[in-house]
Amino acid sequence: MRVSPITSITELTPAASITKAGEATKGSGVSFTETVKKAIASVNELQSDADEMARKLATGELEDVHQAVLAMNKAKLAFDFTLAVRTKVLEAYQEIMRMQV
Amino acid sequence: MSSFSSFDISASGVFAQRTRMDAIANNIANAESTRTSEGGPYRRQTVTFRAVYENSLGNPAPGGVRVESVTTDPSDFRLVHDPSHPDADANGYVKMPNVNIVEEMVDMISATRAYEANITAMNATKSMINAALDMGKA
Amino acid sequence: MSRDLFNDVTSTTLRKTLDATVLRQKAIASNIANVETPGYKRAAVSFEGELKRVLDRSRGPQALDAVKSLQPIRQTDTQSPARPDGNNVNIDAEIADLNKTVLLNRAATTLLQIRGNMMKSAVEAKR
Repeated sequence: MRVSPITSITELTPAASITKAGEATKGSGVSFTETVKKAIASVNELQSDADEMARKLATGELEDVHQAVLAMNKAKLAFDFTLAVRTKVLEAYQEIMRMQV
Repeated sequence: MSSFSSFDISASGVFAQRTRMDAIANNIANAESTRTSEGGPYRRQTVTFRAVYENSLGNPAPGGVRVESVTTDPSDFRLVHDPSHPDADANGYVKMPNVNIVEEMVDMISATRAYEANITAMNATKSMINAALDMGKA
Repeated sequence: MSRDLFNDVTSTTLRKTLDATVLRQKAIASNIANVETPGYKRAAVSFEGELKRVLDRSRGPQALDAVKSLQPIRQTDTQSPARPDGNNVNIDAEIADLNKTVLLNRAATTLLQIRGNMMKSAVEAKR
């Protein structure tokens, strides 16, 4: 999985259109909701890979320790990225809620 | 007897092998000594080891090792025919120490290996403890 | 992300593996210390075999319970060929085992550390 740098979060759809994100960008490619769903799915997949590598290491089936550490790092990276996205979304939401209408 | 740490176990091995190396060095140095303070030729030294066990219900766990004794080898002295030797008897025979240099060299090699292996084991313990300590860091 | 990062099968497995490596290293230290002790039989620690059996057999919460109750077991090896004085310690084999054990210990520690950091991020993000 290619993990884009965190600074690219600012390139996502502006906060104001979050509630309509699914509909608003249907025509223009991948929506924000889709991106988040994909990110979570890949976190779970990478987590499973890491778990499997760790299991193999523990039962003595894994020759290359390097693989297990790499898998675990990938999983953590994906997790951290998704967590950062969630945090940013939350901040953006709170900022909207603070706006006077 | 309480449980031993891995360090204690390896340390006991280091000490035991050192004692053995000392005895072997003594044997080699005195391989030709026909006169000792007790009178008579030098007698080969041997070191006996015994395993130490932890008290664990029904399943005694091996701990380290200890030197049970440093004794002399009771085997006969070598008789060498050398009438010119100052300690030769009436028939020209000299009683030489019951030390076989080749055997002693072989023993020294295995004692050195065992000594080094115990040091390696001690380093392994240190490595694992350090890894555990690092786990607490960010 | 409702996964419990501390109490899951993987973390528990890694912690048990750590326990096993510590016990095994101690057994190896005893074997090395007693390489010249007459009549001494080497000690060995078994764990991987039983772990594999457990993980192959069970899934989900069953697997977690099974791994939790797993213990490394120290045994006396009377099978390996002995020298005339009865001692069956092979110093080369012990050193090889020692290296493998230390490697496994450090690998498991590293993996647990990465997971630990992941949990730390999650906890900090909740503020």
